[in-house]
Amino acid sequence: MKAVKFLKKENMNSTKHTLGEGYADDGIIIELYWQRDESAIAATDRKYGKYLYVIAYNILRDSMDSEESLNDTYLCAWNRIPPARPTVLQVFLSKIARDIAVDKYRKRTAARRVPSELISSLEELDDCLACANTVEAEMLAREGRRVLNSYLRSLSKKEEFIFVCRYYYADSISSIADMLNVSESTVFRSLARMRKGLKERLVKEGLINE
Amino acid sequence: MNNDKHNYKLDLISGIDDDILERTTQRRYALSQRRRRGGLSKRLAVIAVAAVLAVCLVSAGVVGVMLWQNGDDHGEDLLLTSDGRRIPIFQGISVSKERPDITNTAKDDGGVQTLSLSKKPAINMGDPFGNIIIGGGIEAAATEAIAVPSSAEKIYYAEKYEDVYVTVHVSNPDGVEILSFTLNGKKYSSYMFEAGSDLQNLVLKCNVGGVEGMIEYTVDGIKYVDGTEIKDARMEGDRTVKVGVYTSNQPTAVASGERIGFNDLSFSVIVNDPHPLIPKEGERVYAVMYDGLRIIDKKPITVGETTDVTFESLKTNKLYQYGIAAVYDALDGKGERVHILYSNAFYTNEIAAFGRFTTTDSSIKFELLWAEGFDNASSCRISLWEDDVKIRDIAPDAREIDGLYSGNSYVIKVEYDNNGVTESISLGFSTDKNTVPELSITIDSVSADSVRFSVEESDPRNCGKIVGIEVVHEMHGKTVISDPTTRYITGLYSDNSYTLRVIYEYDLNDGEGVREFKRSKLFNTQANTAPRIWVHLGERTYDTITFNLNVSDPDNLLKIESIELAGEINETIVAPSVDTRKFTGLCAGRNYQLVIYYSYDLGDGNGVVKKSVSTTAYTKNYVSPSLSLEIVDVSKDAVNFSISFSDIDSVGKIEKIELFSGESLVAVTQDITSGAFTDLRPNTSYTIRVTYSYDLKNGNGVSTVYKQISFTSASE
Repeated sequence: MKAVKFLKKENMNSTKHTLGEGYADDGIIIELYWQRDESAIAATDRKYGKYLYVIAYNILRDSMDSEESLNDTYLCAWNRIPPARPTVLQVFLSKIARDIAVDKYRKRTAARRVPSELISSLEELDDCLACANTVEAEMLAREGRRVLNSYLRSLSKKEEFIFVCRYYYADSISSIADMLNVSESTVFRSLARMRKGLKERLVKEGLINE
Repeated sequence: MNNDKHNYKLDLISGIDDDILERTTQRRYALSQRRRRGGLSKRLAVIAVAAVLAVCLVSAGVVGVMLWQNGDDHGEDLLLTSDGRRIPIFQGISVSKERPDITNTAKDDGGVQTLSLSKKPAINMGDPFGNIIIGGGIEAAATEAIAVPSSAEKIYYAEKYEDVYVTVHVSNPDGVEILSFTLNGKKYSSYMFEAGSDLQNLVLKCNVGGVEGMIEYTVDGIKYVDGTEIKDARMEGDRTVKVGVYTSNQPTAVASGERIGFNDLSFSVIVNDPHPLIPKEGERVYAVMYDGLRIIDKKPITVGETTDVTFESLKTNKLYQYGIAAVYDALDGKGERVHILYSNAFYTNEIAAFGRFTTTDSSIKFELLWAEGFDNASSCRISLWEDDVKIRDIAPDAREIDGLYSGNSYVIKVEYDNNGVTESISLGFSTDKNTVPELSITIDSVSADSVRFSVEESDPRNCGKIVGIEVVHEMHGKTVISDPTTRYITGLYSDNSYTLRVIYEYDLNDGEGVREFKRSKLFNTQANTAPRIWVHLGERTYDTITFNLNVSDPDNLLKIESIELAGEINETIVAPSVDTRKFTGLCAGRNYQLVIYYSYDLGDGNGVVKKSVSTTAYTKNYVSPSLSLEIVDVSKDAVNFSISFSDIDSVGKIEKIELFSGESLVAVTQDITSGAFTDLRPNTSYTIRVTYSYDLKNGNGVSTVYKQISFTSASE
């Protein structure tokens, strides 16, 4: 495959002219990936670049790393499509961006601790998701994921949304409140309530002690 | 431990089921877009408020006592102003040609805008491989082959004396008042900010001046108002921004002393970088060798020094392009990249080559040329290939190959050893293609029983011949003419339709073997005219009949079978010859039937027709003689009488003259001239009887008749 320099701004700009200034339909963007047309990257960046950048930035809190993460997201999408044909492109890209950012975060924090919204959100979970530092860690992690998903399905859509935004995408409480057009305290209380509920569920399942 | 704990939680959170993520992600995206659009409106409002505040601060001269702390000294818990607002944080600086539209530069797009001068490459090196248009070419190949160092440094571009807008980006979500900042040591207060500035984007207009090259703008000391204090904002981003001003003094390269060999190229090159633009560190300049697909070799070049370059292991007689590639930022707005300072395309020398060649439909003659000084020519290996399959080996000194199929493509491959490496040259060719012969039949003339024709062959390669001629009759089938050279056929039925068919066999020598085709021509034979005979009788005689025949026989078909004459009483006389025109010895005064038997064959397949024509002929009649007898005088003893015998045709004679007395014959005389009887007795009755005969020659024989007269002798 011909090397593609995804973050060359001038390349993106030049492609912009061919695609027009508007946002391309997801179907068209996916088709561009399938045709191995590099303008797919530019179209993705124009439509989802800022959105994905925020996902990365929430986790990494560093513009350089976030840019790099964004670039890796595009490369990953380029490599996965085809054969993948995402049904919802934004979801597909969001997960890639988040996973890449988290991976970068793990590597970076192996050496030093960097404050970020992700750290804040993870620390909130200390109480309910204790580290399973045992030989059964893997099994417990698997069970933990099962319980977590079961718990999320028991929540209202609004609560589920708040939980995922906060702990999966590491959105700040204020941004979640802004998105939902509610007060920060409402979000805060909702998160506290969910953490308590999750802990109870985990205790009940015997995954953590009370 | 903390990291382990977080990793565990991250693993768990990362395990949220896809359907949940899809649901929430779609909603999150939709809400974030709505929020972003709402945020733009809010920012517009903030800009308006900030502008009013800035004006108020400047006009009131409220600078106050400036107390600031170094941003680095701030702890996590000291990121708020005294009234609980988040302190402004410097996040970066950018440059633009146009005054930035703050409403369109959201924080999360980095506030970066790249400008391009759209300069054309300084060197136009042509397109020897014809692949530049499809993204190929030596520059593209060199870009692939030469690593361009990545730089996190953002460089903006401008032209000389161009105004640019320097934008200082401050994270200032709570709208803390920004008082001033220092740029390249010069302090700029809020009233000096360009229109369009807000509390997060402080815009200054600067002129880059007339100096070419890199200009740096460094921001420092961003002051904000915290209550009654003036403090320094936290500085988190890169404080320096570079602006590249395009220079026409781009690096150049001059190559000289080019020497092209069979497998190598050498030359000298000097690269000049007057400005300079090529960084000193690392290897930045290479001589590269491009084979049309990729860079196959590269040699480092030292800038400013004459460097001797030799590329080896090239293939003979092959197109290459060498170039001088340098990695640098041309300050043309396109960043650091590979530039081709010089390039030249060339063919390596050839050791062997095919000269002129000529082909026929079954062979090729070719010339093989060898470079002077090449010693292995005699040991070359020549082979003939078809469809990538070797057909046969050819003797090294052979320059003609025959036995080829026509219209076929072949390749002559010549392999030779060049310094232990087997190289080859190939000559693809096609033998001449034989065209399928064509022929046309022309009917020259047609008679009642024959046809004369000609055949025109179109067979320039002489690959075919006439092998058969047939004449086909619908009813009687075909007649094969044994001699294919025949052009005249007889024995045909007249007034009939025929098909003349010519069978042609040919071999195009294309591997398909002998094929044939037939060409046909229809014709009608002429119709014959039936003969006619008319009989003309000649002058009549007593014993002959003569005649003539008038004949109409244009096609000479008549055959007189016989001529016969049938009489009334005699047997039919058959003329001894069909040429007989006279019958003799006939009876006079008779009718005859003259019959001419003849035949003819029209040649139309219906066989011989027999006919006859007849006419009645007759011979001339003889006139019967007549006799008259008279008593001239009678005496007692004598009587004189006269006889008149009329015999026109002299067919009669008086036989005797008798004198009867009663029944008794008294006297006979032969003398018909006397006319008297004497010695009569008186008074006696006598009768004179004259007998005569005649023959009319009419087949009835001699007729005898008499005439008598009575008298009485005188009495005594």
